[in-house]
Amino acid sequence: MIRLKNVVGTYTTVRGTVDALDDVTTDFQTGNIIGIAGESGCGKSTLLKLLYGNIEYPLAMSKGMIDYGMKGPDGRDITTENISEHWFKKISYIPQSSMSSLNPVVKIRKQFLDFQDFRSRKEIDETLEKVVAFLRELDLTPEVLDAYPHQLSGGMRQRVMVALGTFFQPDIILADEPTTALDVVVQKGILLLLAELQRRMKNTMFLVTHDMGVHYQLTHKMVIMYAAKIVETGDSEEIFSRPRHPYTKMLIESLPRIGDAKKLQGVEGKPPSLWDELRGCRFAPRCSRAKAECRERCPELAAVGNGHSVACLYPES
Amino acid sequence: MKNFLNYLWQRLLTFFVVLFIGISVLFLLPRLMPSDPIDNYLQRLQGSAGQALTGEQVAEIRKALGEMYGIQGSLIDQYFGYLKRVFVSHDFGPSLAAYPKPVSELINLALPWTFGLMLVSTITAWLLGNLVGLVAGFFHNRKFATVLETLGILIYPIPYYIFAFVLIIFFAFLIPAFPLTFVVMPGPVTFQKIVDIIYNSFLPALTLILVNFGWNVLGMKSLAYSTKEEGYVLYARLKGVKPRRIMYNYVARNAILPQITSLALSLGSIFGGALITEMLFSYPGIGMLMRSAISNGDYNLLYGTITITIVAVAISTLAIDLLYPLFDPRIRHR
Ligand SMILES: Nc1ncnc2c1ncn2[C@@H]1O[C@H](COP(=O)(O)OP(=O)(O)OP(=O)(O)O)[C@@H](O)[C@H]1O
Ligand SMILES: [Mg+2]
Repeated sequence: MIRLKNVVGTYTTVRGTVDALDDVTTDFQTGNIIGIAGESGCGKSTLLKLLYGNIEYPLAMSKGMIDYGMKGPDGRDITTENISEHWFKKISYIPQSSMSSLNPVVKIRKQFLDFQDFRSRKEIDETLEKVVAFLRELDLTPEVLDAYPHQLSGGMRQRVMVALGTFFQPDIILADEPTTALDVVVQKGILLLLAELQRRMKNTMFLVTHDMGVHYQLTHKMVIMYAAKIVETGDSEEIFSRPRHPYTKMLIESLPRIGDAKKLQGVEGKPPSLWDELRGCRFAPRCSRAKAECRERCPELAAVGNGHSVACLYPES
Repeated sequence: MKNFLNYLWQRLLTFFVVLFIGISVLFLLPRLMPSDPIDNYLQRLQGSAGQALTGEQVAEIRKALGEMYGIQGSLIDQYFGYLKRVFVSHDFGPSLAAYPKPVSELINLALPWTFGLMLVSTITAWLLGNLVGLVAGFFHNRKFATVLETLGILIYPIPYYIFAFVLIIFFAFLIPAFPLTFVVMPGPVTFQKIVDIIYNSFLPALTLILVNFGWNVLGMKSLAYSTKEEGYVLYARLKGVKPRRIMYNYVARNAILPQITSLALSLGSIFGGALITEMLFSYPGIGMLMRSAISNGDYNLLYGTITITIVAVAISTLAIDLLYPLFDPRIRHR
């Protein structure tokens, strides 16, 4: 179990500070694909940065703590402070753009080897053997090792990124919109590969995408975010068949269904600016069910049974 | 491969075009001047001879001078004759001031000095400047990086001649650690002679190194700084790659590419600097020759030295351009 306790993620800017993740408390069950959805700017990437321990100016974790429930090879608990020692071994990340994430003047081979220092040629050869075997499992020919990034297609490159991110079989994998730069067919291939790898390795994979269809097909658990808050979590099946938060419902209704006669519902309105003083439920101004109380009292994320939690004073039934 | 051939072909073409334009401008410029060098010369000759030359004598001198300068016949004829001299016979006629020594002989004596000085100082300045700039850019938020950058900012706008003067005043005059002027005995190359050369060339080399050093520090600093923001550097950091390795394999390896191109450019400008530096240190190179050619009105020598400078700059630029693909696989493969 990965536990977030009252986590606040704050950006410092010239205008002042802004909490892009505001007092988030939740548990993530390990061994699942956890989908994170929500509109642009709601704090998805910020959540992943905090989870990864990539906390650098202007971002700070100004409050709260993350309990990873994992120990490093030295037997010590993994914490936000020391997690960078375990990057790619225990927790890895798959970036959005494979083109800009690979060193353009160095062969792929070298980019598989620069995680660690080697004491001998033999050690390098042994590691390379493992890399080749692993690439084969991912349907990549070992020849990619001799290529420079610009010689590979976008899909191949993203497979290389997946291979790099999963080579050490980390317990946690973070993927922030891993397929946005690719065409639809290639996208599907990469996503299926990620799902297949997760099934084999049984690790915890956080997947951020704006595509609710992908969430529906791939994820085991869902996290719905709105304006720096988590508003709903639960099993994906539950969430999609019985959304309890009106915002989740709105997101799901934006999904096209085959044979659906109803006109597609866009998501109307805009989330509030995090710079404003936010009182009550942040979704209330856009909510058709909002009551006077909603504008005064901020709802906490609360269990509603079946491992399902929702932050709404008057959840959908 | 096709990409590389394309690149090669383009560079070679550029090389020849640059050379051709440079040489042609050099040919045309003096011919656009309203005065005729031979008339000038005859006037001076008559003034100093004390007595009037006969019409026959004048015609003879005129003819001899015309041959020497290559200014006989139509402009087109002159032009082709000139191209032939530059590219085929490497013959610029005799020097006027050191008559009858051929210009090419004077140039052959001076060229190794200039080339040695240029090469050593440019490459030293480039290596040191890039190393310091890399460290300053990579650790841009540390104090010592600011110190290094300030050093670069302070040094780079100072012109060669000021530097040369300051160095001369300090290290040849106040503290006579180095000679005021260049004195190396001719003769066979011995260990002592090499020491002599290094000792005598030290100050001129230092002048050129310092100025180019400042320039390289600033260039590399901003390149390293912006390369640090690239996605692949961020990714490497998040991969857990050690900072030293990120600095060398990621930042330096990429930021150096524009610096290689700028090395080619600085080779061109350093020849200009060499002229002044050589004059100030009386260093026996092309710059000194050029100066004496100008002050003596030695057209042939001036032509020869400027031509050789154009050729030298074009060739060094081409050499660097041809080395560039070794460092950038995107040009080598496709
Ligand atoms: N470097 C930064 N400096 C200041 N504010 C930032 C910075 N990065 C993000 N923010 C702010 O934090 C909030 C959340 O940003 P975040 O990148 O986490 O959103 P996101 O959900 O990932 O959006 P998207 O779907 O567009 O990727 C936004 O309002 C944004 O303006
Ligand atoms: Mg994002």
